Amino acid sequence: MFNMGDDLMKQWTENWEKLMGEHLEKLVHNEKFINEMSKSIAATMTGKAMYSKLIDEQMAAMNLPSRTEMVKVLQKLTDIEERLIDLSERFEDYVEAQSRKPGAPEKKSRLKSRQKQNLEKSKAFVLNK
Amino acid sequence: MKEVKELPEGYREMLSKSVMKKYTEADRKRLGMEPTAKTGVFSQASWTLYRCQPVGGSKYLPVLMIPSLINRNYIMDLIPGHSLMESMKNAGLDVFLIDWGTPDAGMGNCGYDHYVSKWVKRAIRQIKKLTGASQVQLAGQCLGGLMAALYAAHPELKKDVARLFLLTAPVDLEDSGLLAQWTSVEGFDVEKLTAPFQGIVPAEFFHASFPLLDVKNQLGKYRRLLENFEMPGFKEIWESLDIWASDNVCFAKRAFLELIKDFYQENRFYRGNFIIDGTPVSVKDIDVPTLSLVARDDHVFNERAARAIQEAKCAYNGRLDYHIIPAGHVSVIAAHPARIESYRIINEFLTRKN
Repeated sequence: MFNMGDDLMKQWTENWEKLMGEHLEKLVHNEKFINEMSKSIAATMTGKAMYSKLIDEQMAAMNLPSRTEMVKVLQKLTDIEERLIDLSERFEDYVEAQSRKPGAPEKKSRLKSRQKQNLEKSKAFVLNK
Repeated sequence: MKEVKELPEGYREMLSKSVMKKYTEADRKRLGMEPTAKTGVFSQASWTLYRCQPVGGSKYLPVLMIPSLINRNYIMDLIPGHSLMESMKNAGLDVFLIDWGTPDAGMGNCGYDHYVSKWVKRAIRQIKKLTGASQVQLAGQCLGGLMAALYAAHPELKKDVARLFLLTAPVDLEDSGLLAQWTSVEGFDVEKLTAPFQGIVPAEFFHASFPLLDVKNQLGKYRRLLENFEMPGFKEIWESLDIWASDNVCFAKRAFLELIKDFYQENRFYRGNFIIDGTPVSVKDIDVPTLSLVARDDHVFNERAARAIQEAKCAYNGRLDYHIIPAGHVSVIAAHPARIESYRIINEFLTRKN
């Protein structure tokens, strides 16, 4: 799809890509560069953390819930959901174990299907009569 | 000199959408993304368990697929013909897929232990209940593969697992690539770096560094699109992969800290001291039949990161299938022609009789 003008353009692009690629590859593998980058990001993040703390304090002064408090509430909710599901699973396991014991009452579903069968039998009996 | 040719119709629009990351639901529909029909069967917190059932049922043990935490799970169900889920379903497998969704700040205290010993375990419990099976075939991609391996290495949890399939999954993160190098640099303090984030680490924070993992490929991205613009099917796969790559997810903070400290910096799973449900687990304890599919040109985790599975019990017992496919981290199942070979290996393993 390339003609002569395009070919030159293509060659130029490929050369640029190659040079840039090699340069950036060296950079991202350079320990000194990585070290400096991580230090500078850490410094920015420390600043951001201080700012967030300040906002939290201002919210508290206004008697409003801060983000920290909201996150705590959300985490409690996640915990509660987890515990509820845990409990319902334990209950299911318990019911299952009980129903397996000899002489245990029939499971509701089995009981229902037997009741249905009996009902159909009695209907057929009435019709035959 | 001749004039430079006009750009092909539609190229400019694709370029601007990609650069501005302005994809819409209509684009996803037009491309037919996530083609495999699935039903939600369970959900908790931000995650949902989906089921893709083959027509007429399945004669094989159900498969649970755990996706990575870094990106969305539809890399496994990208577009028709480029979908691992579709190929597994066509092979007659009853596949369950976890969608981790978008974690919220409430999940900030959930680390890998929680994900594995609570949520993966619960997903398996649901699968057993729905299918009546006593075990599952556990599969995981990328960090999802790490989770599947943690599960299969646990002395109690492993009882649920009949087979393990690891897809580009790291089990030994020391020297596992550029990310390992970045995190091992003296003075790299992940606690400081994530200090202002409460509950979750935003996607923008760590995804900004992802293009740097594969600089050369990134630089040639739009040139390759232009060169192959008229090639049938190229635009569609290029665009759907670009949509997926720009659809980033945030990370639960504890899981993020563990990934960096426990897995990258201390390599705890390989060393046998990562704790799952109160018990230290090691990759070397995996003894269920295992398939590890590795991408030769993986820029996220190199081949070395997956190789440690060869030191596991399953390898010594002759129950390890280890394949290196000449493709990239996601193209191994989504794009490259080599995906066909990947699908064949995966389906052959998961439908094996013994």
